Amino acid sequence: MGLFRYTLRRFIQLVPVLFGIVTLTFIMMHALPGDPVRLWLGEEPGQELADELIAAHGFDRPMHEQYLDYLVNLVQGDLGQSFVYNRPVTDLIWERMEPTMVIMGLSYLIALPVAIGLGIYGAARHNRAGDHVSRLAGLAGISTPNFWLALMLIYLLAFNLDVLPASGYTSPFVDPVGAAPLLIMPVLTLATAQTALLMRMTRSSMIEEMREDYVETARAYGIPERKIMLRHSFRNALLPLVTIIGLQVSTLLGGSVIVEEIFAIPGLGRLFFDSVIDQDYSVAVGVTLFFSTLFLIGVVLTDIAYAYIDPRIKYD
Amino acid sequence: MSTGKGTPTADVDAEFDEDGGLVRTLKKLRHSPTSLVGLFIIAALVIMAIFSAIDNFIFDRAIITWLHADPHAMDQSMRYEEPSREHPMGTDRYGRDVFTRLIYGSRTALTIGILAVGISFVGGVIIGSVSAFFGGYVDDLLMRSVEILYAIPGLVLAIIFMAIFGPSIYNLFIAYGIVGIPAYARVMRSEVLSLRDREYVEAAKLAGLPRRTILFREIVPNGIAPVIVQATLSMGGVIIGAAALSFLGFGVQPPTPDWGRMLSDGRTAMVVAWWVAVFPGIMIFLTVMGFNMLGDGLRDIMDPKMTVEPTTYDDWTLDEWQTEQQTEQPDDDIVPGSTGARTDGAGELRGGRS
Repeated sequence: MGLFRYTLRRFIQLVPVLFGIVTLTFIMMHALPGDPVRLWLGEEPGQELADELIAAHGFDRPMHEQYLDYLVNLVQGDLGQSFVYNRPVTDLIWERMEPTMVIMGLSYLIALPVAIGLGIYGAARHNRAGDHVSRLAGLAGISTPNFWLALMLIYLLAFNLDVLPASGYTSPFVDPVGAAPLLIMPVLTLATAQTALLMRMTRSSMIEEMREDYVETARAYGIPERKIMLRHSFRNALLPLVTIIGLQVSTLLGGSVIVEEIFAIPGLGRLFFDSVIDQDYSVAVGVTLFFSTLFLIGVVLTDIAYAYIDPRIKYD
Repeated sequence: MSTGKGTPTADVDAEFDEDGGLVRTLKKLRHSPTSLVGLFIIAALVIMAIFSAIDNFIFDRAIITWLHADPHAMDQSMRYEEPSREHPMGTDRYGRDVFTRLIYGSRTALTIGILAVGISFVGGVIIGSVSAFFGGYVDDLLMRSVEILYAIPGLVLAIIFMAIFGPSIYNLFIAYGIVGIPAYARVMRSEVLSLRDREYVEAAKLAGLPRRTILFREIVPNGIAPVIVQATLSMGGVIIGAAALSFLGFGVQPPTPDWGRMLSDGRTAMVVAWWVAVFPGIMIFLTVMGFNMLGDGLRDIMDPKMTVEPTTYDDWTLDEWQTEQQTEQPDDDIVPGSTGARTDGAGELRGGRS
């Protein structure tokens, strides 16, 4: 009962924030300088054609009308029409979602076990050589610019060693064998910083846990150190880790813009980037809104996950 | 009344939150080799940046030309020269010397980093402290606005901002300054929330000080330490982010040397000239690493949670106790990019909004 109502309330609380995001992005996109219609048409076609397009997309109407229209449509699940692709924005997002989700999902899949393993190792070897090395490696991981890492991977693996294709995307659901080599570099690029970050997080919360009284008690009972760490401390150390995983969705989505640009992957990040360049308002607003919604849902889910992991937390 | 110093705070926080404590904690940095290395890297960069600024604006690049080469001079006959004695890091598409351009690039990187972090810092401290101190609908309004900014991925927000206001170095640091505000605001807010009911605040109220004075003179100085750590730690993220924007073509415009820009130029030529893309990346990496190493050490030392913890002998074995004496406290990872995540995230999620 408590959890359900809590979940419901958290989702309702999202509404004003989402409304704010829509308003903010709408204003920002319409503040873009230049004339998107001309940009798209080029100099050649006559003014009639341009006017027709402008009228068709309602760009000639007052801003507040466009905004209200947008809101009314949004409530009905309609994000408007892209005038570059001449298709509904929801269709575009739906279509471009797969590559982004595949790359993000695989990055987490790689980052999590590696990070947790290394983090626990660092905590077990606290202040000894192994810990210092993994700690420095973690610092280096979060200090490496992902776009540079991507370029270096391309240079090494694609140009010099010629073992992987430099760019492109094939759906792993359609052709798993052909997709794998294309996915390696983008996933590595995204996963590196994630691994480093999650590893640091695991390590520090494990070290903190190992100072708790219950650990001392467990030691007094003669429970082996390894078992204390894995059975008891790790479960408690998971809590902050879960939080950070939820919050990192935002970083990963931002990173997808860069990674998809470099590796020519037709995902959401690329869609957003192109839409800003082309001043395709509705697409840019739509993708931004979609990203933010994903992030906010991620945060709420983390919140709910807490209830399952930590029975001490009471929601009311 | 003085700024928190000398106010009747008989609690542990005062020891490291006040100015005197700040200096003392900074002295502890010498026990942390990583932060010393970080400090050294940053110092080297600052010297490079100051040199470039003086050389560029006062001597019109005369010194660096005399020392080595003119970072702006183009020479079509020298395109994509391999690293050699004359050009230790090769030349780029226009025959410009990569090495001197890298040195000049430090100015752009540090300027953007410092100004962006400055904007986030001031904005975040004001919003966070006002929000926590006044509470009620002020708190609700400010925090919801901050949440809106926080929910949009930083890079996405910065790209939109740059697209609106046009690519330039000024817009770049304003963009990242705004993007960073939420993290600072949240850290500051939680600090002020924990400080606002202290006795010395009560005393200041009784003394009839105006609320603004109490907030900015009494409370904020006492809660600023975590925000300073946040600033050091987020500096790296800001520098990477700004370079990413330049890389995508939204940032610093030529001919100003900028690492991100150099990288994006090097991207197309990577097959024939690896050096154009490799060295700027190494510079970004070193800079960010420097700030992260320093921030890491600072946080370990200043982390109030660790210091407040009572230290009893039976918690530790002798072996641990000895290592603990000379080295760091466990860190509570707040990392650039997700800055402030732990502090605000966990607090918020654990029912801050119930």
